[in-house]
Amino acid sequence: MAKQMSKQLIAMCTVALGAMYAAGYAVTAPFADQPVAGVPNGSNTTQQRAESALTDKTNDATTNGSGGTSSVKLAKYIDGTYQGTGSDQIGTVDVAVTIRNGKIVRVEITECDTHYPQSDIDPVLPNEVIAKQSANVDFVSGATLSSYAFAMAVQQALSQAQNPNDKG
Amino acid sequence: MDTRVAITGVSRTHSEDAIRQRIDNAITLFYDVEASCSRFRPDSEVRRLLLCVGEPVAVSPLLYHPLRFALTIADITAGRFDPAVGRRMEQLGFVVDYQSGRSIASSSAPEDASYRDIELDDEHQTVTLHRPVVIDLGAVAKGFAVDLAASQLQALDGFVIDAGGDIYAGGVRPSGESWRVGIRHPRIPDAMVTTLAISNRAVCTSGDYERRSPVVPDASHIVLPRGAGKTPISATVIAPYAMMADALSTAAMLLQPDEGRALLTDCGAEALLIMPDLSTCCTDKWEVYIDE
Repeated sequence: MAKQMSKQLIAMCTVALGAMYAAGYAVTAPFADQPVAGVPNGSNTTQQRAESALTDKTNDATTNGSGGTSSVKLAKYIDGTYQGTGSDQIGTVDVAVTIRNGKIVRVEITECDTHYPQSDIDPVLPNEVIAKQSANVDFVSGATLSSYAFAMAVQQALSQAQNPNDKG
Repeated sequence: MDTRVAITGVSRTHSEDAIRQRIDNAITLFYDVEASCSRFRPDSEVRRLLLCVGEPVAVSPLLYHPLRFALTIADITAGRFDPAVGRRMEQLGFVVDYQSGRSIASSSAPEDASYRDIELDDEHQTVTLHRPVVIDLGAVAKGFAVDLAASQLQALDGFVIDAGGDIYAGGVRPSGESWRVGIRHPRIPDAMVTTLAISNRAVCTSGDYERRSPVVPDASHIVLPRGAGKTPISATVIAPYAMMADALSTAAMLLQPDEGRALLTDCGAEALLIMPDLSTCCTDKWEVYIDE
């Protein structure tokens, strides 16, 4: 009983976020990000602070350290296989995304620890990612939670695959 | 929301511009939620429900989900937490929109209006007010906005959203450790009760000191039900989502400490309640989060 109430509340929060994501409010175009080129893993930190107060908002930023630059324009993603994990606090979806010739060619759900059977989202969502070349998949009716986790997992994998020299 | 919102983002792989872009997107969501959920604005979605009493009104997910969550908390607290409290809030003088400075016209809601006068239809995402109810989503909307903002920042190594007492700390600090979140002392200015180590959790504190009634002495923005007995002066809740922590911290302010503790345990949240005599009461696993 107690555990059910906890799960019910968490599910409602998750569904609320999923609905917003589906309605387009919470979509940030994650692949428009341009990671700083040439930053060795773990050696630099970029930190920013933005504040919104009352009617106006102000931004100020401090940064310490960023890497080199490059003018070479290459493919959006670097070839390889990348792991990603998405979690919605009710369950976890792990994926392996394979990039070949700069394109997403394979999306494998390596772990699906959610309330919903993996068949609810597999192969529908992986196929959609390949078709759209993006993690912004539509939702599968009745499996909102695990599809949200899936999208997060793919996003995470693709953020590692992102070509730092790609400016577009 | 008449609240200062501060967002900090940390990433080893994103440029400063990319972080800034995400933070800007996250901030925008606060304005979106406010435009739908503010009781103080005549043109907000929640306020416009009063123009169509008795009929189902289709609403955006920005209003539907926080309202549905608030009604669920009302159900599990048998109405002691009640989003239909808006009329009482108006009587206590909480009527001024912080942005325009204008007072909202007082409504003709019946004194005994309650959450039971609000009906939701999950399938069609409609809201029906069976009587003119002034809905106040002050205990959930900010938390919901924090959760939405957090969803924008998940790709970063670490981030903290601080919306006036509602905090979500994601990932880790640049040092790789959890974020440290202090709990404000309810009576001593600038003093901390304790410091928590938080990662991927929301921490929300409700206190009777935040907003005092401008018209009724000794009344605050948290309206106690009659015969509530001895209730906390401060309630801090840790939960996976800010909407959950926000609503439950307000609910805990309306319950006696043993009831509050039982409710929070049932809901899978950890909490620290501070009583008027400054004695404290916490859930079993609260101490896990205390920063040494």
